[in-house]
Amino acid sequence: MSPDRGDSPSAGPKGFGPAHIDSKKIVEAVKATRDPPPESQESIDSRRWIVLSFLLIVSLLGLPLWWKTTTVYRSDLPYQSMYHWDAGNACDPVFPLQVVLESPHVPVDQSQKLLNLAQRALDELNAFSAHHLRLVDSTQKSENTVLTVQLLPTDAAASPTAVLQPHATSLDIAFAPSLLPSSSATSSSLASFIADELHNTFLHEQATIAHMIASSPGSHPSSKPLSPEFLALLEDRKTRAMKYSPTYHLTFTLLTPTASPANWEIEAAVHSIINPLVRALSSVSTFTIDTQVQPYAIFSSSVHPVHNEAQSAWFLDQAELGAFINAAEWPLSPSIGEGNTINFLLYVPAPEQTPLYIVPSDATADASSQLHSWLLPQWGSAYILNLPPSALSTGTISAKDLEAPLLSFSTHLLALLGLPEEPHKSLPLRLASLRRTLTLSLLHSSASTLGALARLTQSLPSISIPKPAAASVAHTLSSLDQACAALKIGDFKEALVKAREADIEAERAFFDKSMVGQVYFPDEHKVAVYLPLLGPVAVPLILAFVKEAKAGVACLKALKGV
Amino acid sequence: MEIRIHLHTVLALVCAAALAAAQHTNNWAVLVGTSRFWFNYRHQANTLSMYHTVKRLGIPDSNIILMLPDDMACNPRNSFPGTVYNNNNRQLDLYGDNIEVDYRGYEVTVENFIRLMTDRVDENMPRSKRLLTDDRSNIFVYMTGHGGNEFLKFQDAEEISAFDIADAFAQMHEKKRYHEILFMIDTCQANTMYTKFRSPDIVATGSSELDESSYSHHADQDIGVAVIDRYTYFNLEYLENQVTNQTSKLSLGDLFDSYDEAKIHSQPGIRYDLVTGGADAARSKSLMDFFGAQAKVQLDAQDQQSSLSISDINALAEAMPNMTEAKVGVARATVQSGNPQAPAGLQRTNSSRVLLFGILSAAIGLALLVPVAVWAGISTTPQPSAAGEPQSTAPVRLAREAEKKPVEIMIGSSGLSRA
Repeated sequence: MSPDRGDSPSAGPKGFGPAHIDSKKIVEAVKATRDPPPESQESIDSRRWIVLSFLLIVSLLGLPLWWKTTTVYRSDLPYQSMYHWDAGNACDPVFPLQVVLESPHVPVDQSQKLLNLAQRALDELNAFSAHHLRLVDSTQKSENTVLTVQLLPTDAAASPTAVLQPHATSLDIAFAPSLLPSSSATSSSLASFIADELHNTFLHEQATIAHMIASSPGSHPSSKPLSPEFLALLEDRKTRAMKYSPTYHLTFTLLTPTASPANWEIEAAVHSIINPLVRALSSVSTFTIDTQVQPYAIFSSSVHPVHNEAQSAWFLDQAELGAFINAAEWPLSPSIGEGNTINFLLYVPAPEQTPLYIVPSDATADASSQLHSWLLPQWGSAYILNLPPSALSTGTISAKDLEAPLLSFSTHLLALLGLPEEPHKSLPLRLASLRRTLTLSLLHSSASTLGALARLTQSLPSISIPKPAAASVAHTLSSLDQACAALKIGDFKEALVKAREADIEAERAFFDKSMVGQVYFPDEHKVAVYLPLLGPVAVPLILAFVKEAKAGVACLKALKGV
Repeated sequence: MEIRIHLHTVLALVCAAALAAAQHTNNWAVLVGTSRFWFNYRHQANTLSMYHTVKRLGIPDSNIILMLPDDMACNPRNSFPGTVYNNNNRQLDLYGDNIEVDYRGYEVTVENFIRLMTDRVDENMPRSKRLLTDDRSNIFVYMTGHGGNEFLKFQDAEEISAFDIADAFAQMHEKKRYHEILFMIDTCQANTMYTKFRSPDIVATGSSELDESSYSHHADQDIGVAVIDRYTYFNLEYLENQVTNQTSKLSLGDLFDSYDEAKIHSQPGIRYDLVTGGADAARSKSLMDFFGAQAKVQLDAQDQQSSLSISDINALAEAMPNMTEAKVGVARATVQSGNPQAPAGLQRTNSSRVLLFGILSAAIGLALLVPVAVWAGISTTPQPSAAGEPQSTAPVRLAREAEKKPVEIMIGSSGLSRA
């Protein structure tokens, strides 16, 4: 405390005499007291340390932490190969079908000659190189063989005949031995007959595959145009078939409007009819089977069966069938688990409404046509089972009575899975054809999923890409490569396995549940969030830094000046 | 029927067939009310009215996703417990006895809505709560609540912006999850909500322009609050009176032409430009393409060439036994090779989260420590004599405590993740 200051207030009351001296003194005294005492070097240093340490904490610890905790984790994705697959440039799927020519009753050199001529004729017939037939002799028969041609020389036959075995992958050709080509022949009617038959057998599949490849990206529109009828048929099949799923739940439901029948021997019927089919389809998908009984199930109020006295039968108009399934009341979409449910409804009408038939929209009621089953695209099928009163008396539907409905359901199941219609004579060949077309469609769909994922993650920079998604993408790419390689050597079994794997993994990557984009925040929102939080902290910090920096600069200048 | 492929088919025919091809096979409806609390009764009534309409026109419950953030039927203020009405004549109980609410209460969030649309959901999510659409699905999306310029409030707690919905639709388009979408929204400044859409084949309509409010239609004196909004009311009036059954041939254009600004008290907006073919194509689409579902049945012919016989099945049964084992084995192998990755990945993320949390707490501890140390350093400097020693131990102890803290938290959180 300075002595001047203590004196000056006391000077006032003493006397107002020499005012001119006092006022000047007071002003000087006040001025003198406003100056702070000189800072010690120590405190200047410590203040500098404080400012510096705050700055260092903010810039070295705070900023990186903020950056680290607010950035979205994005794994590296192999974008180039993903786009490559999506554009259809990574793999040209080929389908070399191996056909074995079995000729136990023909001399080896003649059969070899026949094989060569038939192969040449086939190559001439074939206009689509991605799907072609390779004839080999019986010594090269392997797991990849898709069809066996049995050459059966008979003296009786005037012209060669071909019979496609309905239950085996075999084409039997009966011919007169005189038709066998001589060793010097350059053409043979028998060889071209075989080639024709083979070509026609796989014509449908070839056209399907040609269409699928032509409608996928990156294809060269060189293949011949397909007929509109054929395109309409493909479109029908596509509209009917379920979306592919690795698992399907087959649900069989017995519906009755009364309390009876409340029992059905479904287990035995499923065992003998559905199980073999499902086993044959096991390479396509996994199937589970569930059954349920729903008594007192009445169809919705907009369905009115009409009684026809003359034919003593009830009739349901086809137009009303769309509303037949009472989706609101019947428990038909059980949440069984992952995978699609295919519904099969067996409706047993009340005794007083039996028999119940359907009238097609373009026809009149006719009990003799006995229409009682229909298919619902991408959903399932229904069957009205008209049982005589004697069969109903026990309250149980026997396995024998269930045979016809289950066969109808089997047909519908195959249609719902997209089974090709041709060659309609041979079920094993149709199943094999389904597997091949499915392989190709799975390849296409997983490739397009990869492309979608790549475009999506690049267009939404705020979306995270977790490690499992990146791993799934890698897995998809390797499976796709393996599937493509398997196709090249004609190993369709392996190709389907790998294509399914690719599809599952691609879906898993795309639908990874942590890949939900951050909710959109406009920039003004971000400012509004950060400013009140950081402003009050940042202002003193920055000002202190500026002040210290200025002092430092002044200090430096002073030093230089000296 | 024999299929023959004609080499000399006219190309134009092929093109025509390809164009006519795309057709939807299934219908879905996503109906979202976004506001809570009793005084927003009308938003729940709006949503339930739409639910009633689409169900009446044939969309099954499994294809309707209904989001109701609050339970008006059981609200203690409801003088008609167990019911929700959209009209003061109270003729139609919207709650009825057959209603399936998929997302209710606090499940109705922006995140859940986006997860629903993009199907990025937990693997245990029941199928009834998922939008399992494909490239053949037509989707009707209806939203109602309180909104503003380019946003819609969810539950008075968060907002969905026009960008979010546009992004969700873009993702759906990218994964081919829809064939066509009809987007309808009833909220204030609703027309701003569809301005950011960029994906094709979406028709959008809203109740009011930018800077324009949407109003309620009328209140029920006994319920005590407004029961329905104007825009929804006049949409419903048209659907109830004109679209009486599933065979209706009315088009979207007919519905849009029925909008009367004088009645709705705001300017409804319609956006056509995303549809291939523009306004004309969009307007000619059938109302039943979006508000209902017509099952297109395929009747079996009496003599089907391709139908199976019992001999086919028996042959399959005989052919199979030797192949069965191998194939089942393969199927199992694929499942096994696929599955383990997911849990492993999850654990990885969990542990990395714990680690990050630990680092964060350690950093906070350090950050606390440094100023304290500096402060302690300053306070000790003027008196470097006797007091120096005991004071300098204080920050050390503090630092130990600060370092202990994150360790405890780490144990705690890793224990949680295990549980």
